[in-house]
Amino acid sequence: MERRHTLYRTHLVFVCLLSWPLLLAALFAPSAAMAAVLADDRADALYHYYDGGGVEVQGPAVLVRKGDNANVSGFAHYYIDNVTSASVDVLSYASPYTEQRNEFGLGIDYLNEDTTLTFAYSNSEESDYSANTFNLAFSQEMLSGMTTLNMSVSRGFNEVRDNTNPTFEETADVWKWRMGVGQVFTKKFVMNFDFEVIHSQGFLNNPYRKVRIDGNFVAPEVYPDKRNSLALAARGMYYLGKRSSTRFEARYFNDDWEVNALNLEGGYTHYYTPKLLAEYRGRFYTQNKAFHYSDNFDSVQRFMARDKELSTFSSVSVGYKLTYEIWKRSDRLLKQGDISFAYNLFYFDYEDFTDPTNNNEPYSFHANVAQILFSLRY
Amino acid sequence: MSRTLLALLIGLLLLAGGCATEPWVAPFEREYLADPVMNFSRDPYSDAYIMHVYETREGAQGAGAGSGGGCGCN
Repeated sequence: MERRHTLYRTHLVFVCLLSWPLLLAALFAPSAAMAAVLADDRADALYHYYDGGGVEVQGPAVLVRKGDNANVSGFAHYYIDNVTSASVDVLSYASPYTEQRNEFGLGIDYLNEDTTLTFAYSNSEESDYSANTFNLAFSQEMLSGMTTLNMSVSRGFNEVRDNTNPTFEETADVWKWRMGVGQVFTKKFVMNFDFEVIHSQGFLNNPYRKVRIDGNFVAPEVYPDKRNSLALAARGMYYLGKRSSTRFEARYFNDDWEVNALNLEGGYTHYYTPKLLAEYRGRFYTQNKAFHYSDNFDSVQRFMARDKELSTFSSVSVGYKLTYEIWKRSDRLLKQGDISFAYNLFYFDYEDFTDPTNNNEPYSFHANVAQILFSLRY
Repeated sequence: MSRTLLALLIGLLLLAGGCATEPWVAPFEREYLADPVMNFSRDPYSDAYIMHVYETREGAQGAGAGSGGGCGCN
């Protein structure tokens, strides 16, 4: 474990060392003919729905973004999850429950020539979990907009509680460092490359989840108090003609809990009419188990996990999104109105996580995920 | 070995930043790139929700197309 921590410290040093020369290169790059722009002023109202594996999550969300048409754009969002859970974990050794998660966030973008700085804050509250996250991001366009460099750092302060034990209170803090490059390769082809390192420290498991020892759910999970991970991603998009494009994505993940994961995704986007945009996507994900995961331990170990998200499994998802432009008039106060409907079907297949409520057969489930989005531009 | 590789990478990036003064796709040739079908995330808030679904049900995290928040981990 110690050797792996050293390896991840090396990765952190790599990110820090690489960031500053890139920043200097960006600041002294030739001035661009096409300046960077702030995100559009918009208001989004979203309803989201998830139903799968005995868990239903649904609720509304709103986002408002407004700028001064020059250098500054501010944004705020509010998001609600109404959760009803009778998941396989809950049915194995607890009782179904309902709860609500509320999240709000604020942020500001500052644009100067080709440089954009973003500061954002978000707060998420559940009955047994609080999360406060600060994010600082930097984006620089170079070479007349051919190359975009992105860097960000995020710091999360989380508090974990246990509704069955009022005296239980632990912390879990998260650092995230991210670096990315967007590159225009041809008139029809662009790619993004992203690299992110995450360091988590504190109480990292679920206080309610139990492990199975010799067939019985008798002990709480015990996790290491540190987790370090890195993820590398490449995304590409190609213009096919007739207002259609195809995209692909590959991401590799590795951490010092010995989880290795890979996901591949592809998509196709097409305007059927000037007002109707359709997107289709498919995604495959696979991972192996963490070093301290077991479906059924022989005996008590120093670290023990039975979280199915740390087991060996794969998932496939397919989906579509339809967006209809209701109006578009640049001379109006409300310049554009769009409505979207998105649907995704997920299928999860676990190799070494069994279902005690179904004769200990290997567990699998599917989930329906839908969204309705109404978006205004002004 | 890794330090040599790091130095080489930084050198190449600085070289690229200093030398490539002419874009090979001129601003007036970016009609296709400006089309909404070529946007990686037209609705970032909506995409962040899908990222949140992934992050709460998969062991992997980071370098995603958007960013999630909170726990929602059961």
